[in-house]
Amino acid sequence: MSEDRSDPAAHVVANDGAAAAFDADVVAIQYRESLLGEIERDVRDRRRGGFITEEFEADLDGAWAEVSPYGASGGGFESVADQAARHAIVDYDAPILGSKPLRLVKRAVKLLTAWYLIFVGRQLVAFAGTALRAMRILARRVDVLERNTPTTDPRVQVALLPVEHDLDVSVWVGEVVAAIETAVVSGRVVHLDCASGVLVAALAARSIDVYGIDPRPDAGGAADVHNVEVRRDSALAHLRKQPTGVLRAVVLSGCVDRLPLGDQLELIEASVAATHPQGVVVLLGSNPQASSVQNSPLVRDLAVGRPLHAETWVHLLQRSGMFDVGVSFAATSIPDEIALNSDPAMLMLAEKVYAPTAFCIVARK
Amino acid sequence: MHPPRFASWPASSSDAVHTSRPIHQFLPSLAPRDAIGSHTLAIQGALRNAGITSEIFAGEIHRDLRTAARSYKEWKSGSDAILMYHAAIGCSLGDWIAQREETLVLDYHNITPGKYFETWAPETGLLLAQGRSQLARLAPAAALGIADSQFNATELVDLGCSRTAIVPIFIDPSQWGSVDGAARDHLRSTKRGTDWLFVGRVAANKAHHDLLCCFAMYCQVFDPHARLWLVGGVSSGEYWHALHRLADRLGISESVMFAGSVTQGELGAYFDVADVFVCVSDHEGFCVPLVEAMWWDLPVVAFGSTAIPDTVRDAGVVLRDKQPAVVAAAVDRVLTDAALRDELIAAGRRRVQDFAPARTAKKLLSVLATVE
Repeated sequence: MSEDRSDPAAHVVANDGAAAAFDADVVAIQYRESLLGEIERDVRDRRRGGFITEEFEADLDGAWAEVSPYGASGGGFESVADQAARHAIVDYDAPILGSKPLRLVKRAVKLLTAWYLIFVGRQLVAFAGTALRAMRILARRVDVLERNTPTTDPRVQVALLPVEHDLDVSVWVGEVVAAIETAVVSGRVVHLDCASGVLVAALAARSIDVYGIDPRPDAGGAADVHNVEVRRDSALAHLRKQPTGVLRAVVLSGCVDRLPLGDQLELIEASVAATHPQGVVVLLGSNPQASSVQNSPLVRDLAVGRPLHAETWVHLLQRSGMFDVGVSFAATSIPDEIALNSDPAMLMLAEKVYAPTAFCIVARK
Repeated sequence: MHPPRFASWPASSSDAVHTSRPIHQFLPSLAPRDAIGSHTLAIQGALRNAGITSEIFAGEIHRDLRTAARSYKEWKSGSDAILMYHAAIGCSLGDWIAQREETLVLDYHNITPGKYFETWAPETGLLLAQGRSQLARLAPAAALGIADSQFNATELVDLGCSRTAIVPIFIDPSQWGSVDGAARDHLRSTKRGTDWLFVGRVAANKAHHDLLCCFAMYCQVFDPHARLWLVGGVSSGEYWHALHRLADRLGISESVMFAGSVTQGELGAYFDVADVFVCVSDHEGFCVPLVEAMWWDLPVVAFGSTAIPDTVRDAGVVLRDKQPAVVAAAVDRVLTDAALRDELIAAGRRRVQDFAPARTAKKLLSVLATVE
């Protein structure tokens, strides 16, 4: 809540005994953080010890989708259409429960109006059935469109790239640590699309409470060595599950270069929403100017989206309400023989050809 | 039965400086044993006790409360009256109140986003969406927005409400002490292991489906004899059926009891016998059962969504995510760490004091006194 619009009366109420309670609050927050840390470590240990198996966790994840056929788990068109088909059948047999006189009246009304209700009901069922059929035809046409539009084809979206093709984020450890340390608030740090988890491990080594997220089965190798938590999930799906303002910092990489534009926009909005009001968002991206140098052919061919320029990310972050948005570019790799050349035209050309391959954007909420 | 833990109620007229203007309350539906209905009646008591004229007007009135309220259509405009509207769901009263010229105070208990009902009860989802749309029109026009949690206050501010204040929902603990002896004896005699409890309507925003998964994990890893009691009426039959299918699919249907709507005495029995209160709701505007659990000295483990961290504060383990493994491990920790359990119970007793009706009445009167 912004201060200029908060209510003076509430402010007075909120500050009752605030000074005395301050120390207790700090202690309570520290205690809570350490307790949650212990519980999460316990879970990790039980996973390592085989008491909690990946198969059972996956089974729990999938069970709800199996038994909730109406699209409750973000299900597809068919399950919702099945629900519509079920509801399209009009039940003529109205209940006649109630006290005896009431039951008799209901029964009489039911008998007297049955012919009319059936007449109207059949027309309604015919309409619903036709509308449903039209929807299914439309759905088939959308399927064809999706198959021919790479950014929406589900097969392309699940063509996960091996983690070794991701941007090398280890070069940004210093910048990321410095950014996170400016956010003196409670909450964990998440690295989305953490690949091998090298950055996650580096942050954990600096006593930052961090975990990684990556959907790929080969992710988290480097993090495992240091017993740092990496969960299998997609960046967007994980962010959508987060309560508002719960994370100290969100670090984004990988997915920022590969997702389709709509998902890239949602990634920023969801990251900002999940970040604590005094937290930070850090984005590690590939520079489109150097994409052909930086990214492997696999990434360039299979990614459904394309890397965005740093300026675009800055604009999107600012539009989402982030402040103090700063950009650091990776050092250029102009060969010495060109860098030492005194010809300004040659140098200008070299700066374009050898543009920085990556950038780090830090934004404060 | 628990000893009374609250100060005297209601607040006396000397508790706060107050306005002399009549304050009338409007709400879509007034029903007994309903959180907003009880809250509305308690506000009326506090206002009248402070010497302020106050009537209740509703869109629909339960037959048991016909003497307590009138239809909003009977409202006679009064130039200096303050109208307090309890925003809860879409209704014609919401549109009517938006056209009034009297000073408006919003009392916001949160409106569950319609998306949670789209699949399971589309008609409810539409009404909730309508309620949110009406709220968006009312918030900028309100002289004051009263919210029962920081989460709700933030929503009001985001909708353009210029002044907000946080006042807890009125909670009446005098109802909580009763225990149905027969129900308690039955629950105790059949106890085989840890008993989990969750109280809340069976609706998708309460995420019973996630709770079942967490419970299945707990049974698998920690206690195969555990039981889960789900107390609360059903908002969506489709969702309820799907939960039964999920319990079957997870092999825990024998250990999960869907108690439905229960009497106050039966509810007391559940609170009295349970070992832990577990809540993994996705959306709560306040969640009174959390406070009720604290009152019953029941340790709370909850997923920190929406208003839950604000309601629980330090009186429970508030989790940052609700992976089944994490929730199950948290419950195990609470039940096996006696020192932690004692700390949580003590913190719960302190937290319950924050909602003492006399204190709530005093806060309410002080914020209403600022309305011009």
